[in-house]
Amino acid sequence: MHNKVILLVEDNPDDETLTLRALSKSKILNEIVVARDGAEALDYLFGTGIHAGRDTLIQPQLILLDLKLPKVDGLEVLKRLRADHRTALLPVTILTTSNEERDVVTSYQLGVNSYVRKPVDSDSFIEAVRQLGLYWLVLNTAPPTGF
Amino acid sequence: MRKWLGKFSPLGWRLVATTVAFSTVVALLATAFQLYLDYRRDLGTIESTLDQVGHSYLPTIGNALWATNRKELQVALDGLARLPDVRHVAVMENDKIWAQAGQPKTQNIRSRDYPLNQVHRGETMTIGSLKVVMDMAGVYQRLLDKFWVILITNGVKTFLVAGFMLWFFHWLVTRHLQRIAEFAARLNPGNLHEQLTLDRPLHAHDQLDEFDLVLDGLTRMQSNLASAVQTLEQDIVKLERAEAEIHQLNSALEQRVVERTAQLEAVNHELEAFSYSVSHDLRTPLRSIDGFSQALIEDYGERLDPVGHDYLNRVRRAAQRMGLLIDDLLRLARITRADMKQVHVDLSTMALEVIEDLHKHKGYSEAPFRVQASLAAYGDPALLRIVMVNLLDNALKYSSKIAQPQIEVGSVVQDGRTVYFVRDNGAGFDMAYVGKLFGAFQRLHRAEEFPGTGVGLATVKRIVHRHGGEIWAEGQPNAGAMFSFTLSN
Repeated sequence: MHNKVILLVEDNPDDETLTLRALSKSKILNEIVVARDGAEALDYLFGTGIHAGRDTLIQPQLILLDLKLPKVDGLEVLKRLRADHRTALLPVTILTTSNEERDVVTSYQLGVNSYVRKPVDSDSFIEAVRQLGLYWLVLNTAPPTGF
Repeated sequence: MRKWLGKFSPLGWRLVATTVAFSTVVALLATAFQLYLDYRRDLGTIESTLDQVGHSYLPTIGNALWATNRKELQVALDGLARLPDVRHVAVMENDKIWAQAGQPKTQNIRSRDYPLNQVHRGETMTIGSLKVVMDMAGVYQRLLDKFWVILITNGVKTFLVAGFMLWFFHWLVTRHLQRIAEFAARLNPGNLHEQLTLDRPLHAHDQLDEFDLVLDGLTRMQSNLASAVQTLEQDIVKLERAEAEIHQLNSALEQRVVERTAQLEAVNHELEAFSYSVSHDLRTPLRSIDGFSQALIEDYGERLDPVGHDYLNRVRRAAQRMGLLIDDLLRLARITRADMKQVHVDLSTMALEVIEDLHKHKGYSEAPFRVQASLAAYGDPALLRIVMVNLLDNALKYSSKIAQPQIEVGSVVQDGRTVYFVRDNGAGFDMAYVGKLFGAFQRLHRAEEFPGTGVGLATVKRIVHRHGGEIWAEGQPNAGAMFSFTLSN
């Protein structure tokens, strides 16, 4: 259970803190790797840049991906990881502020598994994170690694 | 010869042929009449010769016969035979020729017998007869000669006259007709002012003939044509100018449409970027405010007194309310630029679904409602649903605090238009403030009384307007409200 990593891609430190708090409050004890922009997320996934040398056979069990990110935005990250065989099957949930229709449509077109809008009401937010963790880490059968 | 003759028109030939034929017939008739008169005159001459014989010669011949003086008789007969046209004279006695002169002839003759009487002893007695034969051959020969002379003279005369007539008719008429024909054939809008002159001797003004009339008519026709052509040309110029103007206006219009479209697209693009920015950037800090307020309450709540708790809860409520406001505002903005797909919509079914949804999600107490069956509307289903959600949400919300709420959805026909309405018997409103009802963020009730952002009716109004319809409200404090709207079709 502990080797199942969650990759949180989030540039806003407040949101990062709140998300981490929500995860811990939901008793999700997995290792959480935080990437603060899209480029860093791709570096982690493909073992490049600051994550050079990382064993890319080990991939996160869930990626929580914000859309509005510096350098490489969330949709681009999604496109790139879906295009690479090492990451093509990874469960990705968009966790973002926007619910613009075109973002939702584009995300699904690019092969996202789930799209969750962060509610302003933090009770709802904690509940949403709890359900996400429960679903993707417990209920859902993850794709086999190494494909 | 043929070429020369070809100069003369068929009209000339026809005129000459007709004239020659007619004059020949007339000449023949006149000649016949003249010959007849001549014949009668010659016949008269012969008769008078015969009469003369009766007067002058009978006594001499009678006496000579009586005296049986053969010699004297012969002299008298010879004298008689020398008279013009006398062919044969004979003295007969009992059908026996006693004496004669000239040659006897039996054809083409005219003869007369005279009795030769002698008075003897007071008694008249016939002693014989004188037969005078006149020869008609001379008469006939003269007639024939005359006939030939007249015929030849007439023929020559007719030929000369015909030739002259042909030439003269050509000179007088047909050559001008040919020129007029050529001129008329040559006439076109480019040479209408050309003047036709005929090669004719000058003549006085009071001797104007048909050709002058033709020339005058032709000139008038040319000037009429010229003014008609000018009018046409002016019209064409006007038309062309108008067409050019239309073309110019069209291209200017097209250019403007292109520009405006580009501007609109730019504005739309900006608006989208703005909306996106609002939905993303404005909500993010709100989430922090609410999230950390909640974290404070949960993680450090025991260090705060109730007033501190109350303050933090107020912070959270305000942040959440602002989140709602932003969402509503974005929805309002989206409605303005949403694509419309107009179809037939069953408003009754939609209303029932919406009411069920509202009961389920908003937790309103069950209120009796009446929805008219088969309310047909034509519009965008998604947008019309927003209208029904807002109007029914209001109806349920504002009637939620009375004992016996009653909601009604229906339609009436007014001035040929279908007016849809949603009515409740709830809190209502003062008609003095009806103008504020449809403004964005305008509310007639305090949020503690009835929650809301004041964007719903503004959204409804915008949707109705996008459908080409109108919306209005009627109400009374504590007696309910009725919202009515139309759609363009």
